[in-house]
Amino acid sequence: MGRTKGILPVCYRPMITENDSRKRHCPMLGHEIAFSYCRAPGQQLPCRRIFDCWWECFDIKAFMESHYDAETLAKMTAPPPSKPLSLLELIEQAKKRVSGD
Amino acid sequence: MSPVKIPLSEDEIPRQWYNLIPNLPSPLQPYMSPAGPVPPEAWEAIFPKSLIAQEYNNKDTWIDIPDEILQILYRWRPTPLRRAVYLEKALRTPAKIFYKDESVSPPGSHKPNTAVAQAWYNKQAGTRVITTETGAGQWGSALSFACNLVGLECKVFMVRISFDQKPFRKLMMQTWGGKCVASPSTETEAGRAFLKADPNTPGSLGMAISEAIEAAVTDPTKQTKYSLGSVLNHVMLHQTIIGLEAKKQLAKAGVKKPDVVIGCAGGGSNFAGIAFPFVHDKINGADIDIIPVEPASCPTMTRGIFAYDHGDTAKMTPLVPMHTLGHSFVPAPIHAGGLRYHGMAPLVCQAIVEGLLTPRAIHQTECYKAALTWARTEGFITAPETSHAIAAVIQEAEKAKQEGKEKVILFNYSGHGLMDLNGYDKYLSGQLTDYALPQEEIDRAEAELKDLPKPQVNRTGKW
Repeated sequence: MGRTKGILPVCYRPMITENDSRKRHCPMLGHEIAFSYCRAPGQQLPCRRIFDCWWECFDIKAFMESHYDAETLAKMTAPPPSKPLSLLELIEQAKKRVSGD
Repeated sequence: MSPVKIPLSEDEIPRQWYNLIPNLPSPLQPYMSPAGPVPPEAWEAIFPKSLIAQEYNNKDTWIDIPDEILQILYRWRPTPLRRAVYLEKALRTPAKIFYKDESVSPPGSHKPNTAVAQAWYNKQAGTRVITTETGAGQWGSALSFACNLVGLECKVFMVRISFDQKPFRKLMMQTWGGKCVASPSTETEAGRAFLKADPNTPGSLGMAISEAIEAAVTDPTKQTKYSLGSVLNHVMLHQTIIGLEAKKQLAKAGVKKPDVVIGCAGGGSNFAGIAFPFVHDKINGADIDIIPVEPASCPTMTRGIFAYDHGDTAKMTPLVPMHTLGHSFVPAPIHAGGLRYHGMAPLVCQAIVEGLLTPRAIHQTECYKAALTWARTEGFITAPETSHAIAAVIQEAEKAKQEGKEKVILFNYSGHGLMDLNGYDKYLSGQLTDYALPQEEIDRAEAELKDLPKPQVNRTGKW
């Protein structure tokens, strides 16, 4: 059966944990981490840099496309706001949290 | 034999930082929120006014370094400029390779150059506590070191997974009097919310930043501020002491100007430090290749991913994720856009857009090979990030050999790798291999690149 676009049927999908034990240096954290963290880095979506970091090691594109739909992948890789602007947003969020808004 | 070390005495240390902002041929775009340009006051919850003033200074090229800051920096500055004679000999290159050794600082990298400055300005402004976030602990340890010397408390929110995996950097922070907590923590509302959602979360930099910012913003005494180790203009400013010292040391070595300046580029601070003083010379007519180096990134995830950058007043520049297709050249405006996507300093991005910098991307195995060559010739074990710069240096030295030219290559040796040896372990045991991207994927990505709209960018077109 040929590959169709989008998520593969369960019986054909590699296990989502099959690469979890691979390790490499994380440019964000600055130390070695396992792929399991890149896949689930303490947030809903995988790390947006997952493709950039792992494409030299295995077929990350095929792996991700077999487990996540196009909309999720697009959301995941969408450019974030710039660092300075994200700091300003966090300032406002912190002020609101404390004021109870 | 040529001298290996070109020292600079404390009397000769630069007394001013170099500010690139007023010298950029096309002005740096202001920070833009949906409501318009971000005013300086917006930052007062987290930064003292003195640092905000530096962040927005688009008038003064030279900023005096307070003597009290220099007194602290004398512990390790001026750092040595070394000549890599052993690497030159091994490569049989006519190139002369010089490097600024920033690994000699107590925390082992260039980071305390700005940590000390930020701590001092905060102290002058009446700050009592500085908060920050850290992953592996390079920045957290530099800030803990600086705060201790200046007499401030330092609270570091360390990403939980890093807190567990990097106990020695945590100990460094504590040895210097810093308080290091695993993030998410119970010390902030943000942290408690993250833990409620998932008590077993490994944490993330986003969570740690949220906690550090909240701790600063919500202090009722307003004596807690926040500090960041890269990206921002004032951080780039403080790091220029590296390149300014290098200029004096090169002159002592009989070098009028380097032909090539190289630095690894993550957030941009160590690269800016070595490069910006030479960018100034290039703006004023000097012929210098200035090369920021970074990891090769994924070439095939560019389909349909466009967004407009709020940071561009015209809202006309599409952001395109960086890609190399396995090649080393990416058009500058596209590259700069991609770098913004990856969190590079706006000043570095604008210099790329202007054509003053020629970015380069190098694959990880080439970087580790370079690091090993470096360790086996010059003797030092380099940080993983710095190995990108060394790989580019070797490329340039080989090029000089082929051309038969005695090029002068200067690079920033931004940190040692003595606490990051896992990558060497993998490389030495043959576990690091490059995955071969199928040619059809490369062809498809190239075709898509050709169809991308040309980004409209702010540049003079002179370089």
